[in-house]
Amino acid sequence: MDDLDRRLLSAHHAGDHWALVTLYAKAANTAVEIEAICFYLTHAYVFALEQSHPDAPALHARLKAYGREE
Amino acid sequence: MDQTPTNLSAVRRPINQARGLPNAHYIDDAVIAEESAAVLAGQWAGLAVASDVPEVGDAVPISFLGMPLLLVRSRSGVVRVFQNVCRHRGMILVAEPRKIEGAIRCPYHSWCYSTDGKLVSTPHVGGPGQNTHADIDRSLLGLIEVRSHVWRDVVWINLSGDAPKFEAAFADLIKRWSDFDKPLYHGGAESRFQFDINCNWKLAVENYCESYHLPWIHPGLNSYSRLEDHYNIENPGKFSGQGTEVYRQLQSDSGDVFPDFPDVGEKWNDAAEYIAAYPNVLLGAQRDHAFAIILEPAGKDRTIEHVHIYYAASDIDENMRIKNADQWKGVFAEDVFVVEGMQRGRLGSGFDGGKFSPAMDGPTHNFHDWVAQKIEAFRANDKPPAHAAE
Repeated sequence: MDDLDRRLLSAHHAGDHWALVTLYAKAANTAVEIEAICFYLTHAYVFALEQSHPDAPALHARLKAYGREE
Repeated sequence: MDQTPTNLSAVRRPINQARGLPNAHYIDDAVIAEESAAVLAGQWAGLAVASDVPEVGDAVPISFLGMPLLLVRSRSGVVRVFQNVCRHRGMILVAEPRKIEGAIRCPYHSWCYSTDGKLVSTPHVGGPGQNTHADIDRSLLGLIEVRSHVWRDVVWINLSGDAPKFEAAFADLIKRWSDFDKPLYHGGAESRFQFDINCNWKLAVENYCESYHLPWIHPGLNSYSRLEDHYNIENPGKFSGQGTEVYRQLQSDSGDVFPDFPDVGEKWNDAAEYIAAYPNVLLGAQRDHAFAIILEPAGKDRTIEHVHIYYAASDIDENMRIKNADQWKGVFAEDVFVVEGMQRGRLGSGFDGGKFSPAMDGPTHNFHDWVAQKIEAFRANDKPPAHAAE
């Protein structure tokens, strides 16, 4: 398990959804395959949406550009 | 024991010939299920108060007649009521009162809803990382909204969705109390209290709306508010209650009183009214404060009374608010043994609904007649119970 995985798991356990936005976005940025990128972006976007996080519009735009969001 | 459907013809007679509702309406599950569909789900019932969700995003899960509901103050500031159920797999969306910062995220598969009920995200619905699917039309999958209306801070709901508009159903009461159509300020934490009572909710209505019991159950009122100072309020098919012509304001040790509702009118200098807004909301209106009691039907023989006290301004002295709340708490507590005793009395098989005093029990008969009328209309429409399995 790499450091990012550990931090993601830790944030999940702590219920720190604000941190999850950043961590999943980071996971998306380090992924190579489009499927993996969109998977992580989706998680970042959902937690951003839940909290009215300022990154939500940008995450939505990235997913939409990949044809993965309305 | 009475069977479903109960015979309500005696209830609907004029008061001098009438009997009260049969025992089964207080103790029989099947009878109460039918009655609940007709008079609680089928009408405008009190659910909560808007002050329960004072800020944008505040959300409170509430169960009403077993149905999971969600009271929310949306981004636009409007109080709304939804079924607290995800449109995907039927998961409960919000388990505890909390603030919704952005979207309501289902804790199961993370479908997300805006606070006005729109479905805004369906993660992985088309496969991993694909959040759309041709067969998932978000515009058709918003939260199921329950018809609601806020009046005197009470959030009223019509679960069946087919009652007349609130303004029409309550037109007479709204008009009667138009003098009190002023902003209400909830008194805060100490002005909100509950009683958990072992009786059917109707008995709390019946006890509230008549003044006959006052000198026996509330002897402390005798010194300034005698039985002869009260009058019955009876609006057939709508509401009933009691009024007093000797309302006396609470005073602090230094003689201060609460400020009046602005321009409320001289008529209310010494008068006050206490009305049961059928089915389950008990309201009080006085020159300087008001209250609302929402009767939560928690079981056939269990009612939770949610009491809320309101003032004409937001900056009322705390000590006086506490003194006033304590005074009302004491009065309402005096009624508990009565309604619980009447509930136990409904197990007496010989009790026939009771013989009314034509002079004193008009408000109670008015309520029973309303219940019976709504049940008869429900039966005539041959409607299935609201929660019938499909």
